[in-house]
Amino acid sequence: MKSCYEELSAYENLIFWGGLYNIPKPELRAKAIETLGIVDLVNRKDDRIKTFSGGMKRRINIACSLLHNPRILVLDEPTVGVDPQNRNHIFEVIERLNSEGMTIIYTTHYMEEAERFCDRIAIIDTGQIVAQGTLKELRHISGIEDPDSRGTNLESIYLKLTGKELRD
Amino acid sequence: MFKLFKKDLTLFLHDRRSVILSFFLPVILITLFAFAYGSIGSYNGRSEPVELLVADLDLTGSSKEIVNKIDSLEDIVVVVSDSVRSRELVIKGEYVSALIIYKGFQDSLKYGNSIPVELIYDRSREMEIGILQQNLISTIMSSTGKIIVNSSIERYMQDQFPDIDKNTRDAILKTAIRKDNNSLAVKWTSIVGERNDTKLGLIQAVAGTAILMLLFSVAGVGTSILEEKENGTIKRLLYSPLKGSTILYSKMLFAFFISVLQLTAMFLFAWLVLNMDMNVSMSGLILMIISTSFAVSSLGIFLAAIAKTRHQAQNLSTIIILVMSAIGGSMIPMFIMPAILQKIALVSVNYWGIQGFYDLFWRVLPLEEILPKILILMGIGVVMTILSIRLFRKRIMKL
Repeated sequence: MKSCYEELSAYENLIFWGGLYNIPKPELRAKAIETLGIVDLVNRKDDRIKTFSGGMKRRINIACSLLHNPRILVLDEPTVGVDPQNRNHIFEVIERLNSEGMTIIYTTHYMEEAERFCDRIAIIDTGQIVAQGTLKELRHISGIEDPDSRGTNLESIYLKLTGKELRD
Repeated sequence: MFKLFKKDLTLFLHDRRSVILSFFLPVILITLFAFAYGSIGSYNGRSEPVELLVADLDLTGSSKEIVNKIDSLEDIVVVVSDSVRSRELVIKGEYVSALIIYKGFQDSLKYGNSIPVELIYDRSREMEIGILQQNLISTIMSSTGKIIVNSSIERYMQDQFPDIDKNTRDAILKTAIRKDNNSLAVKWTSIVGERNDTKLGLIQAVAGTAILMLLFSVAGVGTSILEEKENGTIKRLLYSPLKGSTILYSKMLFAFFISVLQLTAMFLFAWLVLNMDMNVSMSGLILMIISTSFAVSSLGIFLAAIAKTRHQAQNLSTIIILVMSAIGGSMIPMFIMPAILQKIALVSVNYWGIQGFYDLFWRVLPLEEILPKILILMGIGVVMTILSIRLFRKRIMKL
């Protein structure tokens, strides 16, 4: 999913997506620059998205979602296929937004990411929520209580709750 | 809506391929076709009889005999009319030709004067004219020639040889008719395309090519909806405060805008570079551009609406557009097509657009005469739009 217009520049994309929320123009322009700063793309603001790397595309994608100051941000696997530097930068942005009070719904296949960011975790298998709660509550639900022994991380809990059979 | 429209415009301008396909390629094709159509030859593939208007102003035994003889021909169907109406119908393109038998026809035959018969015709309908030429002229000549020679020789022989027997007189008459019946001529008058300097081939090249290229451009706009669906931007738009219908309407508005711009650019090019005579009904031209753009853009969006993926839409559009353009007169002029294809052409949006532009530039008809074609184009647009909205709402514009 690209979710941005590849033939438009980063700045043009931000102005377009922000414009849909009827943000006054001067405010929108300032907000676009500010948001580009958050995702560290100010120096590439006039470049078309199609010239960006995968990681940069993820960052501009996040930026487009921030312009209207949403209370809830939904991120769908934002770090898939992204290099470590970009991945780290996305983590920093998420943590910053969360610390500023934004609720983030984060879907991922990387369990360590969920462990790192999420206050509450829902385990979904074949479209159904199998279990949800804090990490501690999930440990309790899965029956893996010992936090110091091997296999008590979220991945083990996930596999315990959903099984090891391959999914299509 | 304006923001979406502006975004689409920016996207379009950023896409060099679309700009080249929309503006430069048609210009090159128009120029090439304009030269190619200048030397179109005749075609004999027609299987249906040609309808010929006949205005008999003489109403004598001789004129009625001629009309009956023409009507008995296999390749010609006589439609009786008056001279004024016949002229109007030929100018409007409803009939290819009209035979006017003027008052004094019988007397001219009797006294051996030149016969007052005129065939008015639309020279754009080359194939039908060819059929008329083959059948009509020989029939008129043989009939009128026989009457003229008969009466004049009969008069002469009665004066000079009053005592000659009937059999000898008939034999002399037969021989004389065979020798003399090719000296008569029907006046042929072209009455269409005389009021405007634009050549027929140029009108065909501009209108035919412009509509063909227009279909390709708007099909591209249509498939961009599917591209946005695949990219995820439609989903993102649907999460925004925008309504699904606004997204679709803005696409339609953009397709319509590009169509109007492209058609206008084509006619401007034809006027400035190819010397197309623009001394036509301006209101007619504007409404033709608007209605053609509306019909074509709606069709382009509809083609995208019936496809499931962008790739499918592109293939489907290419095939349907090429077929429709071929039968609708974009590639081959209608007047050299067989009659059956001319009937099938009625289902093509190209046909109505091209014929409307023919009415404007070739027949130089006023707005009220072109209005039916404009209304048909608008009707096609409305039907296609309604179908597209339904399909898009059902298949694309939902989360």
